Amino acid sequence: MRGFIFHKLCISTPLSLMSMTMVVGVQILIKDGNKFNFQEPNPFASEGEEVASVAYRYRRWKLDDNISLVARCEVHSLMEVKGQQTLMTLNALNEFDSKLTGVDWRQKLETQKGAVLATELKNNNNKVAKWTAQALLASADVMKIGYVSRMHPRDPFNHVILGVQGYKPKEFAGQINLNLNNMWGIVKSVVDICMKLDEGKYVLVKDPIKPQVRLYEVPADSFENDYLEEPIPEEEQMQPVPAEEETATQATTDDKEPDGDGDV
Amino acid sequence: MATVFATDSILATLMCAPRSVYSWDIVVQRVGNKLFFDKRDGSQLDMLTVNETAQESLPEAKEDINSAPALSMEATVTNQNFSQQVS
Repeated sequence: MRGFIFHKLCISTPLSLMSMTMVVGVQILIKDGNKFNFQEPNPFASEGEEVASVAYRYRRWKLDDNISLVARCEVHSLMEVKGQQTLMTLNALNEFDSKLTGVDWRQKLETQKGAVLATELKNNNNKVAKWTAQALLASADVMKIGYVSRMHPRDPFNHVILGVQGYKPKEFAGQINLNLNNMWGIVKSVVDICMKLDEGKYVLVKDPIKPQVRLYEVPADSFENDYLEEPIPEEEQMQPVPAEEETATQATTDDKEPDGDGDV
Repeated sequence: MATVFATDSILATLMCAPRSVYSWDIVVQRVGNKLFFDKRDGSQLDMLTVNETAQESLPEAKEDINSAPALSMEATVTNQNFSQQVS
């Protein structure tokens, strides 16, 4: 199924990624416009606001006899096939300039899909592995990966979907050597270390160069945004204190007569 | 009974940590017998990377449309739009 994605980024806004304004104009071909409503409404949507359609599944695992893990997982789509409901995650790989990457999707996707995927698994190994892990956590039945390419190599704003491929998460995990035991082993190790810490706030940071992770303790109010939304009106703002020497000279020359005990 | 709270993207980051190249960070809070894993405000944990594990590096100049930050933005937006359109 083909579709066109048009999106225009607000170029005047600085590229501070979290506070991005985005205008999306979209033309879609939909087979049937059915919307599936899950039981609870989206907690992030305010009145009348349209949010990206997604379903959150809250799931619980037992890490050991004393520790359980609760995670919020995401699924993006649901299909009804022969009375069975299929939960899906949807993700897109993007091609930007085939001259730089050496693989042209428009030529290779039809006949050498495996080669295209292999290159992506090499160049975007972490990203694809994370998508797979998330699909496994959400217990999605199918994970779909789309191949989305720029309409023109120099235009980062307009894209076309060249193809979509679906996989069973467990099978795909095997294909990329993502081992479930290893994945949960890492989580359990991190949790065990953190459970031994005192109450407080910490940051787990991956070194930008070495394959190393560090745990730092930080003050309890770190990363909290306590700044006001709007500037305080002029009258309420603190005024700068006048310099000490000026007041001192003023006092001795103009105002005061020498005081008995020498106080100023 | 101790409980750990996290999102799927945070867990996925941990689970795939050996494959990561770029730096990332996760805030951990210990409160009583609970552990909370959070995204730090302003961190790029939820942004997608492009060619993170590739041999060749991307153009350095930030204004270049094929620089890592520009592609990251493009990939994140594209991924989001894709999930809204296809089923």
